Amino acid sequence: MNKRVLLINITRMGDLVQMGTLLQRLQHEWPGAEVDLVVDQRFAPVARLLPYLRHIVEYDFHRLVDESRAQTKDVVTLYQDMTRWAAPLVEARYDRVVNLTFNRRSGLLTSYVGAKEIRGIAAPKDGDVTIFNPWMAYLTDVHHERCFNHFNLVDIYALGGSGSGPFAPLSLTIAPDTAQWARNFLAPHGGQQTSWVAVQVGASDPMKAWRAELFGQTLAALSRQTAVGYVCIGTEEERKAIHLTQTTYRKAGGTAPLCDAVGKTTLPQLAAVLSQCRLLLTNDTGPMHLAVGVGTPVIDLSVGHVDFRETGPYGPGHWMVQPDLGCAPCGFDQVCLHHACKDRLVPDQIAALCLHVLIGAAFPSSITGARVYRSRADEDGLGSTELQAGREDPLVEWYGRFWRRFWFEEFTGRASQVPAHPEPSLDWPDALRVMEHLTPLAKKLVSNAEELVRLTTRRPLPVSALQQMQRHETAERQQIVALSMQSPATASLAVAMVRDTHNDDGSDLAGLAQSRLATYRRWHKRLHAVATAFHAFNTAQRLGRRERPRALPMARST
Amino acid sequence: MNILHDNLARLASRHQDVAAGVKTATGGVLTVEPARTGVPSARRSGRWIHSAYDPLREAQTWADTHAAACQSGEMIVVAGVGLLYHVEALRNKLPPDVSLAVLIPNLDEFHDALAARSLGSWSESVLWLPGAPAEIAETLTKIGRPIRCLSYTPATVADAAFYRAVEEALRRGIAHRTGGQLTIALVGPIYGGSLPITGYVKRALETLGHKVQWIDHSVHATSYDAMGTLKDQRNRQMMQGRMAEVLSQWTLASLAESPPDLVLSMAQAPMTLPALEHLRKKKFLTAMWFVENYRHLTYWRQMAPGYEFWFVFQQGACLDAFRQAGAQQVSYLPMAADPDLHGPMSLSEADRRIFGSDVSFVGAGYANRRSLFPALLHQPWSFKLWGNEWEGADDLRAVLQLEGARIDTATCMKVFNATAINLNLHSTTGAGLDPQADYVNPRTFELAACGAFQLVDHRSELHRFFTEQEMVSFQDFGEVPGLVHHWLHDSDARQAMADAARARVLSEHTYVHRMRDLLGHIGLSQPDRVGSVLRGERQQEALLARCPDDRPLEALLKDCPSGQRIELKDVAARIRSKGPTATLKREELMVLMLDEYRSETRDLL
Repeated sequence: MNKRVLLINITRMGDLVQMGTLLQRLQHEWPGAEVDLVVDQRFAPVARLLPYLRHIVEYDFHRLVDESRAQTKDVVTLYQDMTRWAAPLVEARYDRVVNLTFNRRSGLLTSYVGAKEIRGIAAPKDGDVTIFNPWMAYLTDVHHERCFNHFNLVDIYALGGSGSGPFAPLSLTIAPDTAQWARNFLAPHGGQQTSWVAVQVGASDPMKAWRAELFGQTLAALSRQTAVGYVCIGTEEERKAIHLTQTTYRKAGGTAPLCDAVGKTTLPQLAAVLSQCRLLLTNDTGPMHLAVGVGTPVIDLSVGHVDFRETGPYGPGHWMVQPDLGCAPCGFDQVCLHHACKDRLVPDQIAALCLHVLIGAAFPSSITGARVYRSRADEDGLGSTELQAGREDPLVEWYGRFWRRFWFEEFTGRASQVPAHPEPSLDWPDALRVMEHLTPLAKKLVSNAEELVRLTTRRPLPVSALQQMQRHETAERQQIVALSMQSPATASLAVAMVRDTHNDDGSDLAGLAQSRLATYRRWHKRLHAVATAFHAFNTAQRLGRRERPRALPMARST
Repeated sequence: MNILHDNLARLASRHQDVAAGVKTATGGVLTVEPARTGVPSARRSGRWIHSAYDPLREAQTWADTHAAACQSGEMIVVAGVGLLYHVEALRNKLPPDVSLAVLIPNLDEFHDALAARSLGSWSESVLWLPGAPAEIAETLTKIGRPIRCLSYTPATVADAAFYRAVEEALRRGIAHRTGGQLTIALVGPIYGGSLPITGYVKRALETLGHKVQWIDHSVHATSYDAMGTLKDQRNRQMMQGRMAEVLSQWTLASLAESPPDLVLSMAQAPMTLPALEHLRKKKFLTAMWFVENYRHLTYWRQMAPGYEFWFVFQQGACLDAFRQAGAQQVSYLPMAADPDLHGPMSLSEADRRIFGSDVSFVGAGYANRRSLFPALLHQPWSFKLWGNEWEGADDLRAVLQLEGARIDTATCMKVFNATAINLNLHSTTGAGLDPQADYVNPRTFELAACGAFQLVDHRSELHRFFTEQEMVSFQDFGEVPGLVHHWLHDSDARQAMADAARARVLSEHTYVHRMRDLLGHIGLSQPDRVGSVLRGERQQEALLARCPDDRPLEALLKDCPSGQRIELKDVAARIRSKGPTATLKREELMVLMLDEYRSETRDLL
């Protein structure tokens, strides 16, 4: 009997497209796997473009928000409607449920449905969330040390929902009649004779939208240098911004034809229109991933709180522009009053990059105020990026690659083929000092946790001794976390450790103590591995020779 | 004749009494003429009741618009007879478990309808309701289904009073069966006359047992006033407009904290049209009680489509004007008094000396008052004038009290109670009495509630509230000196009149009465929401009765306190109260999940 998998991916259109690699990886892991998907009704049409899905189980979750919040329905009706909808999911008895929607409500749904194996957020015990699978847990940890993350969401989904495997690009299937619709749509404006550039001015969150007037100036500059046509895409809600772009474009002397597709397409039709374009110039949005899925090159303007390394276009052939500003990208919950990062991107330079992608004109290497990256697949078969213009903080670059290798090897048990840095980081002595301080503290923390486990097995329970030991443990952990956060060599480990403590899954006191001990031992082992890697530089320097990049200590031989 | 005969036979099979009544009717109310499409159409008193082009299509559109809201198990009550095209279209559109009743104010009109076109089998599943409004309301109430009222407006005009009476009876029926506590967000103004009324409304709703969240914008009055000091009119208006937008967003943010069953705004509440449209999109119910003269304050024109329910204290042309401006539902809701504040007082001799006089007036210096009041000077009685905005009224300076300071409610009550004859002159911008004297102002009810005698300028609506034994009015200001002379010397008659007026207010015209009517109206229009709460269908017992085969849900509901309204959030709170180490059952996971969706707020701002 084929394995049955349920994916829960409710919230965003882009996330749906980004699970394309996971869908392929599941077939690689379990050939013939029957994969179902829970998705918001609005995005179900996009889900139908994805491969390997058996049932698309849709629900109008927005309506649920409205109806439950405004109490248009009573509790009996709400409960019975939802249990009726979820009944087939429960009855399906899935082998695995992969929750790709990172919120508590989807976690509760995941636990409600249940499965032999759960990956992602669930709420199995008391309604509080627990994250199953280290990759999925990493996805929450990454927000604390975003600048060092080099894993694209696509890979995290695939690695967390299934496992490692060969590089698998995103792909969407456009039905022939939808493709024909797109050709017909563009025909009155010049059809396939025109070199179409799609432009996505809006974004679901204004924070991550580049300024509309700067889009207009860019399009005007590009139109003066090559023969193109622009397809404006977006929703009716984005019309105001799009209008501003078009007005600015005309005022700036834009001469190329404008084709208005705003609010005129279904999502599959939008994908088909994008497939007819030579390029998409866009903010980080759902349509960006649609373009990637249909093989259209993308220039992603990664502004506001967007970090292209997390959610940028996946696989080779795309370009990302990131403002060079201390606060960019900012935090997810940041309310920014200046949006200064958006002014770092210069329209003429973005136009030059478009020209390079469209007709192979010289790459604008003298870009200022921003960094330009090109996407690729790396040596481990994961999505990656390469800096093409601008300057990256060397420390950020060093640790980015270090943690990329570390976590890959830690979670997969495979040696990473991505070359390690031959030289230590610039803060190497400081990092070693922090680790030297941490090592004895780590041993003590583990030892105290072991004592806690012993205490929980005694009868009668030594309540006072347990409370005292728990106070010690808490104080020691806080000291360790504070010290760890002082160095990028140890901060990521501390974040993972703290998050693990929230994942304690024991059902009684002894179980909780065991779980906590396991967390501390895991952290201690990781700390040891990082310390060993850092000490290796010392050895290499003492020996005065360059060693071949080596696998980190936790990797098994492959 | 054959058509009528066949129709009566069909009707008699289920409604013998109604059929017998129609037989004795003579008809002749409707003028039936063929429409362009060939089917009969009709006029009444010269006005088309159905389309002269395509009545069937028109009826279908009407039915399509209204059927979507009708819920399983409801009783839909249609006002408007005509040739029944709209009833047929609606009946055919509704599922069988939705009942349909038609109000028949006039058997002659029904006779004409039955003579004009054949009724199909659809008519057998319609409840036809002729008779007196109170009896009809009782019949409908006894059926026990949630009632939803729909109106086919073109056919209701000629019998508007009948339909209004039925609706009032139904509304009161609902209001008196209040079984559950509503949560109502009350959005007040920044300043102005509707601010104290907001307080009265709050107290009335609480008296009725509802929970009120007052979103009080008066705390922003100082900033708003500061903007008023800007000399450049354009800048001033722009800044005040921006502030209104911010306060509108503030309201949304406040609503997000604890979403109510109903958002009730008072006149001048700073809510913008986009904010209201957003609330509607998010399924919030919104209502506005516009306690202003619609002829003077006209911003309602822009706001009309924004609120789901409008309540106004003027009738006739006012209702039409709101509808034309895009108001979906506009209803008459007159002013009232709050007996907790407006009542008889025992005053000390000192207070009587300060606040008392033979004749007094409390209010702002509108143009008509400035021109009329000098006639009250140099009379053989004392006259005191209280209130603000009397600058420049030099001839009245001698009688103006407290140097024209604004009078607070406590002082106002003292004046009302200490005065022998309170003058109540409705404001207008002209020189004489209000030429469009329709509505009755709050002061009329407040004075009456105080047991204070008043002389009020005549209003066309006054007879709806008070008899001539309860209230003395004058048509011409010239009558006032004579009336004062007469009543001043007959304190017993004055007292009897004032007592009767007070009794009337207490029994019919308090804010509690008005809020009961307002909620009853909304409950009739929204039987599955406000209506179901008022009928007690969201109380624990009623909910339990609906899930006898669902043991897990039954257990969750039983775990909640009995005798109370239970919503999703209450069940979820009960589950959470078990503490962090509890192992949750599957049904508890489901409730918590639903509650997580309920708690979403980010889409509101």
